[in-house]
Amino acid sequence: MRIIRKVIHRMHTLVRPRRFERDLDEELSFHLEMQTRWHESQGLDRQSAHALAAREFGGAIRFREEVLDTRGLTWAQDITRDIRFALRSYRRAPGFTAVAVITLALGIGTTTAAFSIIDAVLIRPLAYEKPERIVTLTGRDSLGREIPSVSVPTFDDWRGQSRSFSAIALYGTARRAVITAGEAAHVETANVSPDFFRALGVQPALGRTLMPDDVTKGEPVVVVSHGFWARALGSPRTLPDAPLRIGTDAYRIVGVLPPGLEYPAGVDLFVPDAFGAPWRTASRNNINFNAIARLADGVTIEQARSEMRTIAARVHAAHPDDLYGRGVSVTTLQRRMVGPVESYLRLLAGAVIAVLLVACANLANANLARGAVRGREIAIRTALGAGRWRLVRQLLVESVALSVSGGIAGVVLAWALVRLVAQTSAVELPRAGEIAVNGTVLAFALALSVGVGLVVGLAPVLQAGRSALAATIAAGGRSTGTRRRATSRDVLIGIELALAIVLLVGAGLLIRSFRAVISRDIGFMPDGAVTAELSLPPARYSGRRASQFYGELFSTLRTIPGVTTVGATNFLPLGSSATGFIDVEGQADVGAGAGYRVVSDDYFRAMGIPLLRGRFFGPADDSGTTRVTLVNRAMAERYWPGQDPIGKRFKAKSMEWKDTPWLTVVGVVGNVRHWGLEQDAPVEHYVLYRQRPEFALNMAVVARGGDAATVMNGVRERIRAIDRDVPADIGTLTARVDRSLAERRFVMNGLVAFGALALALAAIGVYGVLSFSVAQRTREIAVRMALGAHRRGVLALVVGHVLRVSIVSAAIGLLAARALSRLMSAFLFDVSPADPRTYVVVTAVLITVALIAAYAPARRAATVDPMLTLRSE
Amino acid sequence: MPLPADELLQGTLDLLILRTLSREPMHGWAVSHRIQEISKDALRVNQGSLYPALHRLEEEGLIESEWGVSELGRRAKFYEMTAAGRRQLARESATWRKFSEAVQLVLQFA
Repeated sequence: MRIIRKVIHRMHTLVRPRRFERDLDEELSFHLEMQTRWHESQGLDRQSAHALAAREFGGAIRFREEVLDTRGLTWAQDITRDIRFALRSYRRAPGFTAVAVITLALGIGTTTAAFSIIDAVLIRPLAYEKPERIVTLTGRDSLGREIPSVSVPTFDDWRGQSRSFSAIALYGTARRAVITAGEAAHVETANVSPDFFRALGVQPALGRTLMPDDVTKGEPVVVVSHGFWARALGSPRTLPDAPLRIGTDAYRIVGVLPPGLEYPAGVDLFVPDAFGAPWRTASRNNINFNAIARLADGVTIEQARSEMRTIAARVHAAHPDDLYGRGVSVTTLQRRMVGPVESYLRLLAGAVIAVLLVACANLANANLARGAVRGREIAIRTALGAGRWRLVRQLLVESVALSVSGGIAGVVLAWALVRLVAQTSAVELPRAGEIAVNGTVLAFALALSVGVGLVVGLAPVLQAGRSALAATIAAGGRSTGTRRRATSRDVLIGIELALAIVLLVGAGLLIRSFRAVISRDIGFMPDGAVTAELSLPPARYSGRRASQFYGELFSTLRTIPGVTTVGATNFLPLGSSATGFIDVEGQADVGAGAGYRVVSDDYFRAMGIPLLRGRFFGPADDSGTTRVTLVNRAMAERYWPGQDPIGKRFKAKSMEWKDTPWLTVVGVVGNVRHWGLEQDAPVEHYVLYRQRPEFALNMAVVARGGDAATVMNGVRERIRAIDRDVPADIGTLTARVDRSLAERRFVMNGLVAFGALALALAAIGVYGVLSFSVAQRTREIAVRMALGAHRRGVLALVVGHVLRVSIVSAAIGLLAARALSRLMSAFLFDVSPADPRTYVVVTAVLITVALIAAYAPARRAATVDPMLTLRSE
Repeated sequence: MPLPADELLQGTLDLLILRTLSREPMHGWAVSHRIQEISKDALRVNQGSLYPALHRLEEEGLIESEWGVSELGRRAKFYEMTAAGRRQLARESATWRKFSEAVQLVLQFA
């Protein structure tokens, strides 16, 4: 009975706490009234009776709080009440609240977005069974460099001799023409050995994966990715009966993979491949494939490494002329996938944390200022018996309520940022499909918000604990600007400015690097050229048929209005390439190689690559005539320094299956930075597509001149008119160059954005602290002025203070930036981490912004009217 | 010098309140006034103790409250004893009596 009653009571007070407080107030005021009446009845006049009753009543507020306490308000209820109180007090200061919430939203939002990206890309295990057991196997070349791919014979040796793996598989990827709904499109396809899915540990979402007999039975089958199943097939509930046309062949779809698998990147179709002839018997220098494996139970990666080292040494001893299989690296798949982006994601994460710290320092400062104003309220409540814990809790709850509000806004911001990064392809990230604001991310955001609230809320708590209460009350709650508190505010501002300067230095160095990169000569003219990457079905375009196709295509493309020149190559710049070792006539084995590209006669004119010596390819060069080649300047200087390379001969060993004919140099062309603006141009030579038709199935056409949109449409239509089954990816050279800079631009934009954000927050912080301190010191300023201080002197007082703080923090920030800039030397290009220009400019920007932020409050201080202020006391 | 009732032994104030309310429902002021009157001003209940005690007793279900109209014609909160309160009073009174007799004996004969 009692318990039920108790529960009902508590429920009641919990549900309607305000009504309860009102009732209590009414009860107490009734008591006071009765006591007054009673004293009156004893002969006192109304006024003294009331005074006496009030005195007897004692600290009314005190026992009001005590009643509220004995009322058994549960902890949860207290918090509810504290939150309600907090929200009420924030509603009363909408300006402060808005700035605080926005600051928190920016800090928490960017941090949450960074976390969701890092969690998805770097931290979360891959969606395979025991993903940490999956490894990639890569070779080393004769120069000791790691080579991502391997030849079939070398792989066969690895597979035959190793005991460390429960499954070991080979795969190779290529863009293939796939025809769905009558439309030809490029689809990234992997040829995989039957163990591929066993190595990865994948269970199909539908149907099956691949079996060993898939490669022996000879029926063409394909396993499709979940994305392809949804996008191209329309998510059927059962496997479709209709075969899938890849190139000219029909494949039966036997399985669909589960969602969330992104290895190998972008691959939608998996077809079984035995990697038999001609690969198995070809030279070990045909390194066209990649190897993955699953560690056998109980085998550590170290054991696998040591076994593979032994095997690689044995293989190298047996095949000393093999240039690539001279070592082997065993790396976990996750590391292999995310390694390339890890360093810059870490850099951006560091920047985000700096922004968060600036936001926190801002909030702590704002809370300190509020705490000073509320010193009187807190002092009174303490004097009236409010427990210390109670006040601390109130302050913390207020702070957490604010930070959680900011966190909610921050999650919205994070969601937008994540969409921007992951879905607008600002940069290509591995596992981008897994990036999302999910439960983990929300939990992180909540924990972060609460954590920030507690940390930021602690600032005034520590102050409140220290403040001499009596002094506060005596001073009328006005002059609580103790030296210590003022100092801690300056320290917080200093931290903000120093963090801002660190980020700005980083951003400045990256901007300088970006400028240095884009000012380099790429070796061709990107502007005004449309590209079309196409692939011809091998069955239909064997032998000379490919040459005929291109001959027809070039002449029809030249009829597009505005187009002046049309050329083609098997590898456009800034993409993949082929490299092989060469034998130069009359020179001993020099142990180095050269890249090679297959091009059409007009390719150099279409690209704007200059001819330095000799001649371009011409109509006289054909399949039956002397094999000719053009070398780039780097190759001419590398192999024939100080000589005329025209007429010299060499053999490109890995270009050929068996016999390697002599290639005669007929011209020298300018260098092209094929591997990106930051790289030196590779040593390369070009051969004519008519003399190498087997390399001409997948060519990219370059059409120079005319309006880009018109030309792009014209190219698409004309390719389709010749053969509907040839898919073409249309783009521009400019876009290609831009894409090659995407990663650098992404990191730079990120750091610039975070630096600007930190600077803006620090400016708000300077403004806020100064406004507050001017308001607090109005009386002091008035007294100074009354004693003869000039307005200019007052202005100088405030501005000088800001100047001192910003110079000190700039100095600290610059030292920190100098130390940290070493960490980002990998991102810098042609600029020293200690670049003085960057440091000077950034310091000037910081101090200027700090002074601008200080201007308004300083003016307010200078316009204090001493008479008005002192009279109002 | 009146003795503040809340400085008495723990639980004494509760006992006094329960005893006072055992005759009729009354509001808080009347409870304190009655205790002071009956004890011939020897006991004075501090408001700071009275209301917490009243609310605690109510929460424990020993008394219950209801808003009514007071002799001033103004809304007042009246407290009334519950059956549980009556049992508690009987128990506590007996304990108190035994205790005070015991103290009395010690004071006389020790």
